[in-house]
This record gives sequence, structure tokens and C-alpha cells, in this order.
Amino acid sequence: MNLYDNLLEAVHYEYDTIRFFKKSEQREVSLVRHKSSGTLYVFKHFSGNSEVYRKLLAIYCPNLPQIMEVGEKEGRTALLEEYVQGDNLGEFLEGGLLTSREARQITRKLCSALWVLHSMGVVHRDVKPENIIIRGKEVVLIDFDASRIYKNNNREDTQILGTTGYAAPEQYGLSQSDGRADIYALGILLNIMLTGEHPSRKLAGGRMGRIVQRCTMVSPEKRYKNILHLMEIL
Amino acid sequence: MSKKCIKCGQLIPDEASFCPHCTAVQTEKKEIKPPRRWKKKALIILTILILSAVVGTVFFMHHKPQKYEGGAQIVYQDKDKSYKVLLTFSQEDGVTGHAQGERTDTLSEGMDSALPCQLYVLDQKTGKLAWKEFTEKVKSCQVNTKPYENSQKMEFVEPTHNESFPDAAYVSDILFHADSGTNDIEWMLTMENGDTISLRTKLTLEKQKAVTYYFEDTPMETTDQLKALLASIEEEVPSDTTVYLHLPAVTYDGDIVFGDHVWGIYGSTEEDITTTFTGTVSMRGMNGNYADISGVHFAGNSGTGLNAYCLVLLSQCSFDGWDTAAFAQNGAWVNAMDCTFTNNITALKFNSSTSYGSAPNYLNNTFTDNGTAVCINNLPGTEVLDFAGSIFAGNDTDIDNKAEHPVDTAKAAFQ
Repeated sequence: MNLYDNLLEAVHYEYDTIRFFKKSEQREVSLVRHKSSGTLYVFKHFSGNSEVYRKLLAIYCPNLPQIMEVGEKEGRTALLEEYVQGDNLGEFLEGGLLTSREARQITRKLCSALWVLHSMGVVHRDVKPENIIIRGKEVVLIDFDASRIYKNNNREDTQILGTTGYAAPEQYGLSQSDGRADIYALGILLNIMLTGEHPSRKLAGGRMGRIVQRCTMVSPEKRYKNILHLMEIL
Repeated sequence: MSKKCIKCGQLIPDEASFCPHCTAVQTEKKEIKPPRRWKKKALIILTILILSAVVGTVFFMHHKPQKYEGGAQIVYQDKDKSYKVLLTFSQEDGVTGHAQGERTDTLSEGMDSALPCQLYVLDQKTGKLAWKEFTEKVKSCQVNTKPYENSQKMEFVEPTHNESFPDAAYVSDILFHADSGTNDIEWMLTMENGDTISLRTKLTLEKQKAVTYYFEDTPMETTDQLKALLASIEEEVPSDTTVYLHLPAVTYDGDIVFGDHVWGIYGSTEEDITTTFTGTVSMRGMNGNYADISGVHFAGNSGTGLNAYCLVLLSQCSFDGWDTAAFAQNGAWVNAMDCTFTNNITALKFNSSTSYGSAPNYLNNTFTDNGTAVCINNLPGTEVLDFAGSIFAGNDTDIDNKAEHPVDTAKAAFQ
């Protein structure tokens, strides 16, 4: 039996479904519990390529949920992912604003997570307090959807051609530019952690305020070039 | 099934990373951390030093390597054959054996762009392309960029053979912006026998002027105001100046023509209302002028949504209800990323004689309930249109490729 069938069968007989996060014909995301150990996992079953998840399977980043197993068959992917328990940042912020040091630490950890995703050709596109779980001293960025590949992982496929003036790397799908959407969201988040407000209403003061401004420039070219650059500045 | 779980002993597939029966992880995961720059640099230098020491020692014992240093072209003498190796940015020149020692391009202020630097190999005697046999003798191929004084270093993509340039041995995309200035593009080939071939070409960027109009500062709330603004731009702004237009979240009706400029047109969204055009939008750039349109909704009930007479790069735009949503007319090219096309008779249509219009990535688009999602009647060239991440659902025909243009849908989803 292959991985895909083996995983589906095991989930069916040896796990209880606790609840569905998403359910459509194309995509099912549910919280499941391993019957004998009681351990919770997120189970995803969808039409599409599993390439990025297979890469994530081999690695461990404390700021991303672990991928436990991935199986693909005839264009369908089934996978089991670690369920990250803890308060989300939104709930955490209800207890009050963060100090500059705390906000910087959290943002740096999110940069680590985004660096891993960007280096695999995935833009998160939904960095917000509800998708950030505080687990003890760690910060985990959840709910990335790796089916939204923004570039080919194979550099050979990157097409660029030019006649005078033909434009814009973001059209070519190069990592620095596409990842800048996440840098923008990270800037907004940093400001919210510090002031509780969107930067257009109330910008954080001092150096952190300047970092927020640079992250949230309307023109992507004026933002930090990539996530590593932002991480170094922080 | 041929391995046993390391903990519970149940049979699991050979390649399993995890036992779903007892939840034991089967293979150790590698922890990865973002690099610190100095560490990465030190590691690269160390690796290069060790590699050069090893390569040097081994080859010096067997073969005295030759060094070939040239400008944009050189003749390399192998044991039994000589090859002409050359650099160019133009496929046509490469195939016919013409090197390009320097190239100057213009780029609008605030824009980024890229050019493919290509390495061609011809049999010196017959003049025929010989990259296949030549690359078998190549051990490594590297590119580096060196900025001139008052210039900035251009970034580049590692050189590799690229199906969009089927006749070139290697292609490296050189990435730059309007302030990049002049860089030497240096290529270094190391052959299996230890010989090295160095080539270089020069790329210069000249900055093009740009003007920006924000809806907060300039009246463009109504169709008439927008038309008046476009008329004044035609009159006052020279066609070699780029125009950036930030549009308000309103609906414009009637046909609208954007004239001969490089355009950056950016829509906005406020409380569920997005910048919308209900008439035909025509983009009429000439002589390499092009348009970059993002965040705009094209809502139609017949006719053509976007008529492109030049290169038009669409991102985060939506089209619905058109006979033809986006149409690349002769000489034009339309690129779309993160766009949605819904309920059009034809969504994306090419009838163009222009090859190498640039930007063949059609990533993350959604084509739903169209008659024909992508219609390629005429489109020359070898660039592979890549639909990775795009979704095709409920269309009568997904891709009607009469021109038999190379298309890659391996990473697209058909539902």
C-alpha cells in the first residue's frame, strides 16, 4: 500500500474527527485525535500537488507546525500536521500591549518561519494575530496554504525575457518581491503589538515606528528587500 | 509495505516518515534556521577554498589546465575540436554567432526588471550550434556581476539550461533596477579537464523619468475627470516618461484609452468597492512601452474588457461577463498573475505575432465558468507559458492552443 492510502486508512479507523476547519469538495481540513494516545493532529485532504509539504516534511522549524506525513496519489494529497495548542496572538494582546523588546522577539520568530516558507516558494499571505500561536516561549505561524506556490521551485523554469523596459520581477515570480506581501503584513502586525492600532491611525514611536513604515511602504520596492533583511534590522 | 515501525513494529510503507498507528516519528527531522550573513559568507569562502584546493591538487597531477580569457567571445580549443563560445542578451544574435559585448537599456524610476544573459556555443568549423556536446565537458558554470563606480551590484539567477532558450547552453537572468548603473557580467566555465574559460559582457541601465498621480491629490473620481487627466497626460507628459496612476475605488464607465507611455495603474478597494471599469480599456503603448495593472475589476456584459496593443502585466485583477476578457492584439502580450476570470466567453486570448514579449508566468490565476479560459490563436516563440498554481473550473474549454505554443500545466489544477 502506498503512503496516501495507508494514511487515509489509518486516519479513518484509528483517529476521531473532532471538528472541521474547512470542508469543500476540493479541500478538507479537520482536527483529528489519535484514538489510543489522544494526540491531536490537523488532517488535510485536497486536490493538488504535495511538493512543498514533502519538503517541509524533512525539516523542523520551531516556528512552524511540523508536517508528520504526506501522501499523494493521482493528484490528491493527504497529510497529517502537528496541531499547535496555545493562545493566539489576538487573545494574547487582549491582556495588553507588548513592550518593544517582546514585539521584536515575536516578529523575529515570525521572520524565521516566513524565511523557511519563502525559501520553499510559498508566500503566507495571511499573517495576522489569529494565525499566530503563542506556545510557551515559542511563536508558531499556522495556517499557511502551500498549494499557493508563487514561483517554480525549479529555477530552470523561471522565465525572464526582455526587450527594453519590460518590467517588474514580481511578474516573474522571484522570491524577494513576492515575499514582500508578507513583509507588509508583518509591519502592520508589529505596529498592532506596540500600539493596538493600524499604523495609518497610530504609528509606533521611535526606531520601531520607522521599521513599520519601511515594511508598509505602498511600493514594494521601498520595503525591505527580503525577510532576512528585516530580521537583521530587528 | 516493507518496513516495520521502529516503535510498534507494524508494517508501514517504505518511505513513511511517521507511523500513523502509534504516532512514532520514523526519521529524524533536520532543524533549519535562517542564515546569518557573516556565517553564510564565511561558509561559502571556506567551501570555495576547500574545493579549489581539492580540484587544484587532483588536476595538477593529471593535466596542466589552460586558461582562456576573453571579452564577450572566445575560441576554445578542446582535444579534437574548437568551439566558439559567446555571450549575448539576444537569442537571434546567439544562434547566428554574434556576441554582444555591451548593452544599454532604459528603465523607469522605481521599476525593477531583468534580462536573460545567454551563453551560446558553436562549432568553430561548421558554425553549427554545439551546446549539447560542449556542456557534457563542462564541470561548472558560474556567473558574477561587478558594479562600476557609482553603480549598484545587479543580482542574478544561477546559470542553467533553460527550455525557453532552447539553443543557448546556459542562461542567467540578470536582475536590476533603475539605479543599477553599469555592471560587468562575468562568466566562468570550468571544464572537466581543468581548463577555465572566462567571458564578460557589460550591461548599463539608464533611468527613465516617472510622474505619479494619486487620487488623493488629483481629481479622478469620475469617468470625465479620468478622461480629462489622461488627455492632459497625453499633451504634457512625453511618451518616454513613465506614468504611475493610483485610482480611487470608483466605477468608470465607457471606453477608456491609455496612450503611449509606460503605465503603472493601481486600483484600490474601500469597503468592498474596487476600482472598476465597465467599458473597454485599451492600452496603446508603442516602441517597448508597456503597462502594469493591479487591483482593478473589469465588469462587462459583452465586448472586450482589456484590449492590449502592448505588453500588459496584470496582477490581482478580476474580469467577468465579457465576450473577451483580456485580448493580446497583434504585437502585444498579456500576462496575468493572481487574477480571476469568471463567466467570460473567452477569458485570455492571444492573437499576436510577437515572440519574447516577456513574463510567461501565469501563476495563481482562477478561471471559472468561462467558455474558453485561454485561447492561443497565434503566438510565436519558445517561451513556456507556466500556469503553476492556477485553477481551471467549469470552463467549456480550458486551453484552446491552436498556435501549439509551449504551455506547462503540470502544476495547475483542473476541477
